[in-house]
This record gives sequence, C-alpha cells and structure tokens, in this order.
Amino acid sequence: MDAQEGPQRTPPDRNPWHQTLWSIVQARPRFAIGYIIVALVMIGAIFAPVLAPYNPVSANPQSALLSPSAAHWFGTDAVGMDVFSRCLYAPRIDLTIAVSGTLISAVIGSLIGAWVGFHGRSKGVRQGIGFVIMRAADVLQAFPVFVLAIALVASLGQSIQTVVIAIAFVNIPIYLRLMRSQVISIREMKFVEAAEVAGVSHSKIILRHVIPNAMAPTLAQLSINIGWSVIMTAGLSFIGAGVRAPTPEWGSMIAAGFQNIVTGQWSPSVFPGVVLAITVFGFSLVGASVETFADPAKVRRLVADIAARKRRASAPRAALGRGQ
Amino acid sequence: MKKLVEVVGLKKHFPISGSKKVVQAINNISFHVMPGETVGLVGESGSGKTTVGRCLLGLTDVTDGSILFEDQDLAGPKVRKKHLGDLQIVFQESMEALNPRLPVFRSVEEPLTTLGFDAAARAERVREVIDRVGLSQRLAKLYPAELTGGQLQRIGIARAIVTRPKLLVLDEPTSMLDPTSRADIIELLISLQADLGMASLFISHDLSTLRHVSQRVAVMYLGMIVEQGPAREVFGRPRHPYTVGLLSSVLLPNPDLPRPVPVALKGEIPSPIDLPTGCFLASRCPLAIEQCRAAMPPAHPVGEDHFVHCIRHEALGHSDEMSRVFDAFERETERILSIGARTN
Repeated sequence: MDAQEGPQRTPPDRNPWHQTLWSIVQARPRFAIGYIIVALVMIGAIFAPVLAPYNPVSANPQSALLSPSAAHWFGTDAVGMDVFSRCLYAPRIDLTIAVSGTLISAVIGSLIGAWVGFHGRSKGVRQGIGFVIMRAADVLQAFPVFVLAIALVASLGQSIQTVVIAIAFVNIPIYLRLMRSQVISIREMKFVEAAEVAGVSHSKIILRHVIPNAMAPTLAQLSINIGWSVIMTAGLSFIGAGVRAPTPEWGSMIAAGFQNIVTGQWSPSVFPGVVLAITVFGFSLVGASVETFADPAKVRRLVADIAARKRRASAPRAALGRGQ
Repeated sequence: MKKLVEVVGLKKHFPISGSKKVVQAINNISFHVMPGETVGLVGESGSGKTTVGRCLLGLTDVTDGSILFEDQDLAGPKVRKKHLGDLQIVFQESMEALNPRLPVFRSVEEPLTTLGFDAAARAERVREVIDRVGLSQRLAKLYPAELTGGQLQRIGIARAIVTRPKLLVLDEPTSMLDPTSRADIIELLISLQADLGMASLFISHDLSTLRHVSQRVAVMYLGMIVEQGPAREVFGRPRHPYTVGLLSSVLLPNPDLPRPVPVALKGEIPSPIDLPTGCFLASRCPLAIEQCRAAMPPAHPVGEDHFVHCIRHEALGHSDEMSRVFDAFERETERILSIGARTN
C-alpha cells in the first residue's frame, strides 16, 4: 500500500454542472419551486417600475373597487389603486425589512451565541456573563414575539427602521441558541484544541474554526426566518403598527381591503394575501434546500435518490445487456 | 543532563456538578522526560493517561502539583507563552483533529502564525514538513474529507512538528489506524525523533507499540503511576502485579506463543470518584494482603531508575519461564511491527 497517493480526484465522467442541477431538480422538484418563487418575487420587485401597469400610489376614485379584469388583473382597491401593481411593488418594502431584520439578528445572535457557547465551560466572569445572556434570552422568548414587536414599535415610534429593529430584536434569541448549541459541541473538537495549543487567540479560534463549522443550521434557519419575518412585517402593518397606508405593502393592503369583503369586493384583500402566502412558502422551500445541502447525511440521501433514478432510467438497457 | 519536563505531584480532579465529590482523574503522579527521550505512558481506558497529556499542554488546568519545562513552572505567568511551539500534540482522532473547512496546509501552518512567521516563511516550512512526513505536496491543497486516515495522521504529525517542538505529546496516535498504516506511522515517528532530536510522551494502551518506541515507560492505573522504569526492565521484568496483568492481556497473532504467566486481575476498575484508601489495586490483586488496604504503597526502588508502588513486589517473584515468555513477547512484537514497516 502506498500511503503517499491521494484518492483519485476528478473522475473522467464528471457531470457538467447543468446536468447535476437538472438531476437535483428531478429528485427534489420542491426545491426548484422554492427558488423559482423567490426569484419571481425578487424580479417582480426589482423591475416593478417596468412591469407594473399603473402607478402603485396614484388613487383614481372613478375606478374604485373594480373586479379583476384585463385592465386591472387583480382589480382595484377602495381608492382606485391597481392591486396588481401594488402587489408587485410590495416586496420592495416587505423583503427589505424582512431580509435586513433577519440578517441583523443572525449576525448579532450568532456572534453572541458563539461567544457564550465557547466560554460556557470556562470559569469566572465569562461564565457569569454567559449565564446572564442566556437568561435574558429566556425572558425575551417568554414574550409572544408579536406582542413584543408591537411594544417595540410603539415605544420607538412608527417607521421602517423601527420595524427592522423590532424584527431583528425578536429573532436574536433564535440565532443565539442555535449557534450556542452548535458551538458547544464543536468547541470540544480536537482541531479547536490544536489551535489552543498553538496559542491562537480565542476570538480568532471562534471566527476561523468554530463559526464556519457551526454555520449550516443558521443558514437554513435564515431562509425560513426571512419568510417568517415577511409575515411579521405584514402582520405589524395589518394592525397599523408597521408601514402606513399609501406605501404598497401586503399587510396594509390586506387591512385596507378586508372591510370591503363583506360587500363582495374580495380582490383587494385576497390577492395580496395569496401573494404573501406564496412568497413565504417559497422562502421556506429554499430554507429546506439549504438545510439539505448543508447536512452531509441529507446530501447523501439526495445523491442516493439521484443514483436510484439513474439506475431506473437505464434499467431496461442494463437488463438487456445482462440477458445474453 | 538537564530534564526537559518534570512533573511533580500532579493532581487533576474534575468536579461533579450537583455533588461535592470529585472525579480523581490524576492522583499525585511524578515523572520526567529527558531531552530527546521517548517516555511511554500506558494504562487502561480511564486511567488518566490522556488527562496527563492535556495538563502538560495546558488544555486543562491542574488541581495541584507542578509541571516544569526546562526548570520553569508552566503555570507561571508568560512561561507557557515563552515556550509556545515547544510543546505540541498529535491526537488520536486524526479526522477530528483538522478543521474540515480548511485545506490541510492551512491547518499545518497555523501554529506558525502565532510565532510571527511571514507567509513566505510559513509556506517554506509547510513544504518542508509535508515532505518530511512523506506526503506529496499536492495533498496539502486538499480538504481533510479527501484524505485517508493514515494521510490525515501524517498531516496531524506535520502540524505538530512544524514549530520544531522540544516535546511532542502523542495521544494514542496509532490506535485508530489499520495495522499497516500504524506500522508506517510508528516508523515515521521514530525516524522524526532521531532527526529532530525531540522528546516525546507516547500515550497508549497498546503495549507492543510502546515497547517498540519508548526508552522508559510509566504504567498508570486509576490516575496513579504504579510502576515506572526503563522499557526493557518494565516489560522484561515487571515488578507490579498490575503491569504483569496488563502484559498477560496482550493478544498476539501467534497461537504458538506461550502465554505470559498470568496474574489474573479480578473484577472491574474501581470508580475514580470513591477511591479506596490503600492500594487502588487491592480489590483486584491476587497478592493483596491486609496491609495493602491500609495505606497507599510508597515508591520502592527496584533497579536503576525503576520504581514500583507495591509492597508485595517481592512476592510476585520472577521465574526463568517468565523471562522467556516476555522475551518471546518482545521478539513477536518486533516481528509484527517490522512486517508492517517493510510494506512501506
């Protein structure tokens, strides 16, 4: 046996990337659906000025509360604004708030969580600080998140920044716990000890060795959480604590339209709701895919599925070959 | 010659949460390592041998006692910092010992970053040690998941020797490897030591490997060193019932080999939480008398640099047959290891 030779790399029949992608899509079509939904929503938001048939904030009382038609695909609302145009513009607000709020909470929560997890076993002040942080997170999580967010917006004043801060704040404990639990197990790994023997500083060990190996669940959580934060943003706006009326935003659109449902004009309320639901669904599918790609065990199952599919596809030929 | 490392009265107790009791992982052990020497530390699982290595490297704080490195107490302020890179470790779990997200050369060069080497000097050193452990430079760019167990252990060794340490702690470096890679790694370690003149503390439960590599051995049982001395003496003429028991338990792949005179150790290793007064082995030892249970036996010198903690060591006796058996054991060990090495 020759210990010097590495495993053979780059097998000659390596699939080009688009083929690999296609086989993943075939094995897990729901992932593709998720990415398509998210991509469509993003494209819609970015190119809204080009795609939207009407100005989303110009009221036109003459064409108020129209039913869906060729001119107004999703109908118009009580002041005559085109619901379809507003739905296209809405993710500009909703996604910006949700994404930035979630990212802020992920960064802050992960860093604190990594620090607490890393020093969980050390004695003295650090353990004390860690204890206080975890109990604070307990208290934070004991409140219903939505109530906490309303309270924050109420006390800080109503603006987009406030909603971002509220969403970031209520999500911090999630990332804190997630990262801490990962770090506690990774902290015991031998490569961390090797770095300690080498005299590498704790903060550098956390950034270089611990966090990169503890990221996977956080990344998966991130995407699911963005979808969830979209609901939160819409929810805050729905009860009037978030974005205010003329700005196109799903939550406030639903709120503005739902009084008209009793009189039969369902479209100004239902369409933004459906778009919102589909968007959140898309993000949670993307989250599921990230979780799969980050977990070696799930990747193995996916690879096995793809291989099984290939076998099934080529089975008739193989059977013929064996039959001689 | 000046001692490189001297451990004096080392104790390590782990607290048990929710209880006043402690796990006595190490109980008052003393030993030393001379420059360039290999000292073997042998014992069952749970005997505390790995904890000794971790204390030496400062991965865990000691409860009592001192560790002197070149006559300076490592617990002293700045002393460990001054000796950064002088002590290194090779772990048992070669896979877990490398960050899976970094190409292996990044892991190898890491100990140099804290010693103030610039990028070019680091790259040069890394190239050198990768060569030295017998790997191709190509492998250095790969990730740990792409290497075999033997290759990973070589990378682990490369990382340890990259700072040119004076003491290498080898924590069961071969126990996770298959027999052929094991022999390769042992040969590599022996040749490295000869070339670089570093001392090593070889922690293992594998007696045949230890016999092959170490000049002196210390036998650990329940956090105590029960016998220590030159390897030839300890393995050829063991004076502690536990050492004899350990040697009799070695399995060799040769059914014709006579079994060493058995000292059957009864029962299980006692819990390190409630240790008995007196000799820890008394409950398992066939030679135990009332006196053994009364007090911890002190160190008896039984030869040059050979100590045994047993008041009954004379009763153990020593027959010619026993000598022959251990000689055969030794030859067999050499033979097995040389078979492995030849295939390299």
